[in-house]
Parts: sequence; structure tokens; C-alpha cells
Amino acid sequence: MILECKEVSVQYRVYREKERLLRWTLLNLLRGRHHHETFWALDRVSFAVKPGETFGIIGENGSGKSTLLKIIAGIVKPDRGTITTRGRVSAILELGAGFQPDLTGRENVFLNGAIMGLSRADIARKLDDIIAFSELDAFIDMPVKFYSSGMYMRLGFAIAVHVDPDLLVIDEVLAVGDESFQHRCFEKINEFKRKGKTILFVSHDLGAVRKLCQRAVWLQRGKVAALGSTEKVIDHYRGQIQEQQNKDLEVTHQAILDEVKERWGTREVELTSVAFTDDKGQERYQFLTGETVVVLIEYFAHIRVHQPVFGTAIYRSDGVHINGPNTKTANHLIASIEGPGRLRQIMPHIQLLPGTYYFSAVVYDYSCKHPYDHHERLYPFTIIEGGTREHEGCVQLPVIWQHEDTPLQL
Amino acid sequence: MFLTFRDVWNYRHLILTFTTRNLKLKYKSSIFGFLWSLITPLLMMMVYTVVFSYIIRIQVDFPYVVFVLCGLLPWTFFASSLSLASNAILENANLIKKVFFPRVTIPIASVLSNLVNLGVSLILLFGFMGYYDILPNIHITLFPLVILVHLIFTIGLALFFSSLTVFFRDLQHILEIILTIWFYSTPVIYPVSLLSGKLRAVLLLNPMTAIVELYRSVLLYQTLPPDNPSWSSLWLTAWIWTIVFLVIGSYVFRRLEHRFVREL
Repeated sequence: MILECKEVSVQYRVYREKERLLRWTLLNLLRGRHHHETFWALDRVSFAVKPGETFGIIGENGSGKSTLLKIIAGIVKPDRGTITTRGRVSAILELGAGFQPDLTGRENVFLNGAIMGLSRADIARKLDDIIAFSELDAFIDMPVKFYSSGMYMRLGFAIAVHVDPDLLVIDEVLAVGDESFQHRCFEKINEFKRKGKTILFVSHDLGAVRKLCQRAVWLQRGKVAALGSTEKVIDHYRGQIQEQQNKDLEVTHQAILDEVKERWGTREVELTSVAFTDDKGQERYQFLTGETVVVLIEYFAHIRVHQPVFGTAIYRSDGVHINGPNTKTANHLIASIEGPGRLRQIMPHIQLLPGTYYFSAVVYDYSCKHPYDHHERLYPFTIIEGGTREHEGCVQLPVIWQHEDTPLQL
Repeated sequence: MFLTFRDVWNYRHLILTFTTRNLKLKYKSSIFGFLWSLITPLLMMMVYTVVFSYIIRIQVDFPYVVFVLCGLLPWTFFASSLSLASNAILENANLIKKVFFPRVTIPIASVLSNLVNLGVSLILLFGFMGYYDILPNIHITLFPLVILVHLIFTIGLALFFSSLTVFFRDLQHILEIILTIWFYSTPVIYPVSLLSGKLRAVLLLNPMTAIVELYRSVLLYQTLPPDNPSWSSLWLTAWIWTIVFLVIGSYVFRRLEHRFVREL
């Protein structure tokens, strides 16, 4: 085992500012009282990483990931339990962590190398490779306070991978930096894997974790929620997050239904249920961008109604009206209805951007003037990030870009 | 429990890097740069010389300029080391919170960068000694040993103050007061012979008295002035205090360093 955590627990104290003053400390010492609250940032966390393994750590913000990394890097000591690491640990915990803003890039390379226990001569030997990898030749003698965050990251990553670590810890750093540098980082990581080095990879990007790691651990509120093969852990994680968010939505959904303020109509035809499912028929109120969304509308016609018109609408949470299709404009004529029935509206590859939306469902007569049953924005659903690159506006419309080098001749 | 010398040795490159960084950062954006380690003591020396040889006349065996420099330079090294070290852990919070390395390298580097300044400013002293025809004698061979005891003494206190300040920020201000009182309780600007009786006994307990007098005895005195404490008592006082403070300082530092990250 190159890394072994046994029952590692870390307790943090929450101070109020004035308690740090000498007066208060002395008073508290005299009274034998401790006026601080505590919480466990890590609670009996155990796992082990084998040499040559690429191991992932996932979890939401505040789940204890950062604290765990600090323990592995030796920055924090666990209050209980033990941690053992073998060999040199090189950790990229944050963008340019440990850089001194007033020193130049070159000076920072030497400082960081020395922190990792390398001699000046060792670093001097690796300097050219580091500069080449970071592509900062032109800026290496400039104080790093003038660097962009991308440059910071490039230099930090370049140093960390060139000090020849036995265990490389990478935390979220690949999120910044341009495409080509990210690509080279992944190449470098793969090179490390080929060389049989051990890597600890922490990321919100589940795709990257899935691609790189054989095994993973999922931390939740400081505890190990799942440990094992990456696939299994990520599935658990996704499932749990979805479940939680679905539950939250159901609560709001129910609250809105209870009020039933936004419902009107003469009720000759009643909408009895509006439910969302994915293309497999699984009921859900949260979808990834680009997923197929199916709305199932059930109704009951108390009398025979000729040529009813069913319609829906989507509003964004801030009230922006996105669309409003109905069966009449779609030329989907329904001759007549009586008794129970159902209608399916399929939205293939939904092109809404991430956000919360409200769904309306209505049934009117053919003139669209007489409402039988109108449910105004009663059904919330959310769209979450599923791999779109666009973030502006509310929908992703198909577009084609064309570029010409020569200016237009007018 | 105590300072591990292995850490210090294994990370000597880091200590050196921190030392040069301290010096670079200190002088980077100033016009005179390194000259400041000459200008400051020179000005202080002039002030004291004007006050104590023209306004209040203090009788010393050497030109007052040389006498005061010989105490002022070691004192400045000591006092600025402690000021820098007491703030050093807080100043390097960013580094400490994010990367691992033996924390003890930071206060040691604070002291070492001031030692470099001391080295530079000694030029001033040697210059004035040459001007007044005060030639060093055989005792100067002991000079490295004086520097060594002074260095270790300062490191011991630097460890103590740098770690405690993290938990009691007020200590920085308290330290400034302590240093001011300590300065006047040390024969920097006046000779030991000025005091007698109980006051003198107290003065001789002060480790900085022993250290300053050691500097003077290896650099200036051919033979010790008759009313000065003896060689053996100077060395003994200096080393005993040095060991006491090194033990206390490294013990306190060791006990507290694991809690730095959570306090910063």
C-alpha cells in the first residue's frame, strides 16, 4: 500500500473572533471553559491505495475532500486514526498554491522544488523541462503576481509532475486552462499511469474520474459513503444526488398543488395527472441537458367533448415564457373524447439550458377560448448540466459557424 | 518532542531558499536595497554617539562609535530576527495552509536572513575599528563561536515567539514592548561598569548582556576591563540561557505546529 488511511478523523473548531484575544483566552483558561463549537470534518475514513493505482475521490462541496487531501499531503494531522504514505507526495491542491506573488516564475520553481525536498542542483536540472511544459519561457522571469490564472496553473502543474513524485495528488486543477493544455495534462497523467506511478484524482468532473480511475471513494459529510470500483461509486453518487433533488422537487410540487391557486376551467374535461418521465419510462423531475423528456398527461372527460385541444407551456423560473405548443397548431386533431384517457408529449433531446422551469398543461375547446381545465405553471422540473458547452440565454439552438479569412468585398 | 535536527538538515535547501526569499522580498522594491543594512545601523550609531558622547557623557574605554556599534549590531540582529520571526508563520499562512514542509524552516530562515544582514553590517564595525587603529587580537579566533551561541539563542526565542503568536496575536505587540525594555537592560549603549550593586547583578543575569559583552571581548578587548565579568562567567551565562531557550522554544514549537493550519 502506498497510501493507507485508517479510521482517520478530523475535528474542527469554530471560533468567534473575540475568543482569540489574549484576554478571552486567559479568562477561559481561568474558568476552565472552552467556548467553541466543534464538528467532524472527517469521520472514521478508511481506505487504501495500491502502488500504480489511479484512485478517485468524489463528493459534494463540504464533504471533507479538501481536508482529506490536506491530511494526505501532511498539512493537517488527524485527531484520531492514522495515515501512512510511502515515498514523495506531490500535491497540486490549488491553483499555484505555495507561490509567492512577488517572486518570479523561476524563483518560485526553486522555492516549490525546495519545499518538496529537492536541492538547488536537482531543480536546476529539471528547470528546462518545467519551463518547456508550462510554455512560459517568455514570462518565467516575471513576478507571478502578473500571471493569469491559467499561467499559474500551468506552472503549478509543471512543477508538480516534474519533481518525480511517488504519489501525485491532483485536485480540481484541470478545470481551468485551455483545451490544449488540459489535453497535455491528461497525456502527462496517462504517462504517469503507464510508468506505474500512483495518482490520487479529485474532481467534480465525474466523466474525467470515470475515464482515469480504477477505484474511487465517495465522501459524504465527512464519512465514506461508497468505496470500490469507479463505475459503482459514481452510479451510487449520481443516484443519490438525483434522489435528493427529486425529493426536494416533489416537496415544492406538492406545495404548489396544495395551493391550487393557478387552476381554472369549467372541468367538463379534467386533467387528473401530469407526470414527467425519461425515455425509459422512469418518473423524474430532473433531466440532463439534451435528454429526452416525456410528459404524461392523464385526463377524465365527464361528457363527450368534440375536438378538444390539449396544450402545454414551459416557463423559466424567472417567468420567461419559453414555448407553448398545442395539439391544434401541431395539426394533431383529436376527434372526440369521453371518460379516461392519456396523452404523451415527447420532447426529444430537450435543448433547454440548465435551470429550473415550470410546466403548464391545459385542455380547451376547439376555439381555444373556453377552458375546460387550465393548470398554470403547476409542474416544476430542472435541467442540470449534461455536457453542454453553452451557458448564455435559455435554449441551445442548433447553429452552424462559418469563417472566412478574407474580408467581405462590398 | 523537541526540534528534530534531521528535519533541519534534510530541508537545508528549503531554509536557504526561504532565507534568500526573505532578503529578496525585503529589498526588492527599495532603491538602496542591501545598503539599508549599512544605513540603518550607521544612522542609529550617529544618534547614540551624539547623545552619549556629546550630550550625556558616558565614559568608555574605546571610541564611543566603535563601542556602541559593537553592541548595536548584535542587538539589531537579535531584535529584528524576533520581530520578523514572530510574524513569519502568519505571513506564510498561504504556504503553510497549502503545502507541507517542516514548519521550523520558516522561523529559522527569518533568523538566518537577519544573520546575513549582520554579516554585511559588520563591515561598518571593522571599518571604524580600522579608522581608530583598533586591531583585532588572538581572541578574534573565538568570534565564530560567539556568533554561533548568539544564533542558537536567537533561534530558540524565534521558535517560541513565532509559534505562540499564531494563537495569541497580541504577542506581536507585547514583543515590541519586551524588546524595548530588554534593549535598555542590556549594555548596548552604556558599559557594564556604569552599574553597581543589585542593578549590576540583575544586568549580569541577562543573557544578552553576556552575548554583547562576548562580542566586545573577542573583537575589542586585549584584556578584560577589571570591573567586567570574567570570560568563563560570560560563556557560561550565554550557553546556559541558550540551551534553556532552545529547549523551551523547540518544545513549544513542536507542540503547536500541528495546530497552525487550523488557526491560520
